[in-house]
Amino acid sequence: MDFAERFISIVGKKHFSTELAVIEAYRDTLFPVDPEEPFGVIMPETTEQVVDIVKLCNEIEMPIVPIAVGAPINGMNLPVKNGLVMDMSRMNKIHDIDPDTMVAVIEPGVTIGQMIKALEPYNLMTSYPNSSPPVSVLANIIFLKGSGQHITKYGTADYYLQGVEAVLGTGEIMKTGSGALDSSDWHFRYCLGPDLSGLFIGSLGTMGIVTKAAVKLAPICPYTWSVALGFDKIGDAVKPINYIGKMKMADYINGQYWYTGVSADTDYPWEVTGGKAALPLDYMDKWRESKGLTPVWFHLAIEGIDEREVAVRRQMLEEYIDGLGIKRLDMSNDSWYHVRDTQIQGTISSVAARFCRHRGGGWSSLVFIAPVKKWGEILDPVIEMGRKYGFDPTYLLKVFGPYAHTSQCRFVLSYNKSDPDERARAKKFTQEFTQHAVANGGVIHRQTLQPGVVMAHQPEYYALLKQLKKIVDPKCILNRGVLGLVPEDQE
Amino acid sequence: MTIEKEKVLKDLGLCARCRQCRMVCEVPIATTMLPICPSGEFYKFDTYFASGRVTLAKKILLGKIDFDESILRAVYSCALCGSCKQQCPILNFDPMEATTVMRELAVEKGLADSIYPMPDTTPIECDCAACADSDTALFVGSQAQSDAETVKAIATALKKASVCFKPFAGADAGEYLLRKGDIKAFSAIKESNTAAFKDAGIKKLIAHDPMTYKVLKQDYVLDGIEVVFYLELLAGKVEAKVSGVKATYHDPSYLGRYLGVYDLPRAIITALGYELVEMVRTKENAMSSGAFPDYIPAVADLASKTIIGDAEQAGAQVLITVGRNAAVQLQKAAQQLGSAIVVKDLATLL
Repeated sequence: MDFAERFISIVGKKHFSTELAVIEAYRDTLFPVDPEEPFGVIMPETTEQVVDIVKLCNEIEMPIVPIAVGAPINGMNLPVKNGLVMDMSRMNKIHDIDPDTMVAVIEPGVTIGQMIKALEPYNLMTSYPNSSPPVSVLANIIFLKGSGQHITKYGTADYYLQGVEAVLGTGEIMKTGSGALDSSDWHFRYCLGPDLSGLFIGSLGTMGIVTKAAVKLAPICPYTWSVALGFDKIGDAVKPINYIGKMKMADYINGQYWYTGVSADTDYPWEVTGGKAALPLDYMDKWRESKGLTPVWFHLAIEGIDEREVAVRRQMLEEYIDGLGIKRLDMSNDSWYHVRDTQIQGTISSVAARFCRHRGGGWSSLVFIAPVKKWGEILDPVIEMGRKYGFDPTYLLKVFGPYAHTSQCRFVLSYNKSDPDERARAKKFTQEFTQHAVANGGVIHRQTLQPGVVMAHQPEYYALLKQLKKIVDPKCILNRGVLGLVPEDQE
Repeated sequence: MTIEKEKVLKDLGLCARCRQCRMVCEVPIATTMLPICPSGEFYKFDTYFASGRVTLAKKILLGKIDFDESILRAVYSCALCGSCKQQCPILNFDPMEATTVMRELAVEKGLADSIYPMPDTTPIECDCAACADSDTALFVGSQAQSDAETVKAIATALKKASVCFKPFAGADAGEYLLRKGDIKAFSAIKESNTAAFKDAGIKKLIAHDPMTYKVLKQDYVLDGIEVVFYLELLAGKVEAKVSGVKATYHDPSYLGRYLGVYDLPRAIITALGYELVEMVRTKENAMSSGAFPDYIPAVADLASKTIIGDAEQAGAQVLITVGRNAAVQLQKAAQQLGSAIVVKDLATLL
């Protein structure tokens, strides 16, 4: 029996393929890299099947790259040569929703839309990224150290993680949190000793393949109030935004350039790009000026389960804003602006869906984590860097809670993938961006970008990670090398 | 070669791989997040969703890969139902362009015949003349779309509604050549038919099948000839025949998503006395039944069973659709599921 037959014996003929059409569909990313050619793609449906696959891959020393739903669009988990792509989208069961303990147990293929729909009768939500409905919930909570609606309120999306079931590189099943003691009771993230759930957060499948996870639920607060604040430059926003965050005056604090506004504008003149992915550098400035808007803006929102709660906090926030004379922007006539209000309530808007249009098929979300106080010194050079390479300065700033400890600084890079020049510039910008962020104390959110850069800054940290990797995945078959975690004796 | 490679690559480059082509993504959420792509739901791999086909088409156009059996299967497993285009949030982008371009290339390379099952396009023989000297003609079409019994039922309904017409028989509109990607052969049939329409002095052409209607209306250029769907001529002329029966309507892709005809059949169903209830996947978000004679039976079975399930969930006793193929396919699905739902082609209820 050859390898393919053995994989088929685990998942069935329909769910394993080495065909060209399947290989090539998965060998794709919007990121400016060329994925390698995998041996095959497999779609398990159960934890037991994942175990069998991992054991077989151990035996034949075939690397496995797990992906949550479909294809690796953002260059996170790219196929490796002669490896196995494990598409988890068939593992899409919601095992339990417990509205008393406020926990749901879900598989990695459960999508945002599926979850929103399942939780609707309970008026509950979990953490969702601002992404399209078919995106995996767990990919955001676990694999990417992601953001989401409650990033300002609670911090990174992994706040929502209550424990995981994962298949280690050895084929063993590991459970973390209270679920390790009783797999029907995931009320507590911790069990004995260190927080082993953390081993899988941000690991991109290198430490284990998560087959199930318990996620916290939160009530959808029906009462909200929001305000848009305008600033002339990012530096002007630092102190007031930091203070608002520290004092918990707002539950949502997002700052950004006007990219989303322009993108959502139905009258968007596509022809102005002249066939290139990026808009002319002055286009968004003109768009903004025509609406009388400031160069920098922040969206702040308060939510509550009771309108009195919102009213009290609104009064506090307004007194602070007006006391400092911060400009309020009137965007009541901009329909896309109201999308933000629907997003924070954990629903999907058809207008929001239009945010995901990008030009030229190349798309890269470059993110680093840095404290609010560093915005001025880190962001302004990156904006200039973007302009130097001819890309839109499309940043998005999210304050991390619960008390504005740090923030996510995201640059959305749109480029024409079929244009070699744009592709090369995107790659250079990515490298320069990463080096700049790390040099200024930023943490690269998606380490896959440049493991070498991070490794050079944190050699001891990497040595420890490699040792951990060797314990849970001695033959280094799980997402081999994606974070530079190949043990020295196997390099 | 009819394909403008640079333009197509530019178009396909718009795909953001957001995967919204996989499911109903519109609000309200209570009726969304349901699977919508027949081939993707059947095969599961990304390859068989629009996003996967876009990737394959780009690689083929860029010369990075070439057709093999698996790529041909991915290309011809698309129902061309338009559900991906409906869900796609990107303006000015039609994900189906990936399929149509690859089909054209497959034909050009002589590879399509090995996988595309050309349906029987023998013309339907129909003795259904109403007014021999009329400048309105009923496009009778071929066995691939309908049968003599259905056409006769439609002709009878039209006569009853005092519509004066003559049959235009003996020709096929070339629908399946277009679906195959054989643009050259389709153009030849189109030119031949267009000339014949003019020779026959036709000013108004009545289509009775959704796919034929779409092709005559959107893919032919018929100066001076109005193309109408037979139901348009029956609006307001239908009498009630039943009462207290709950019926739901399945929107055929070619009548619904392609041409935006949603209300007309519903109005006629209501006029017939049925109590109309809607399925969760309906109108723009209707699941294709896959009821095309050139399509993969197993995929069509899965899709049509999904529709039967939706109809049952809606509490319908009768599932009504338009077109023989859809009705036959849905009847088969209902039988396989042991469903009590009765499936009817609207033409047979008039």
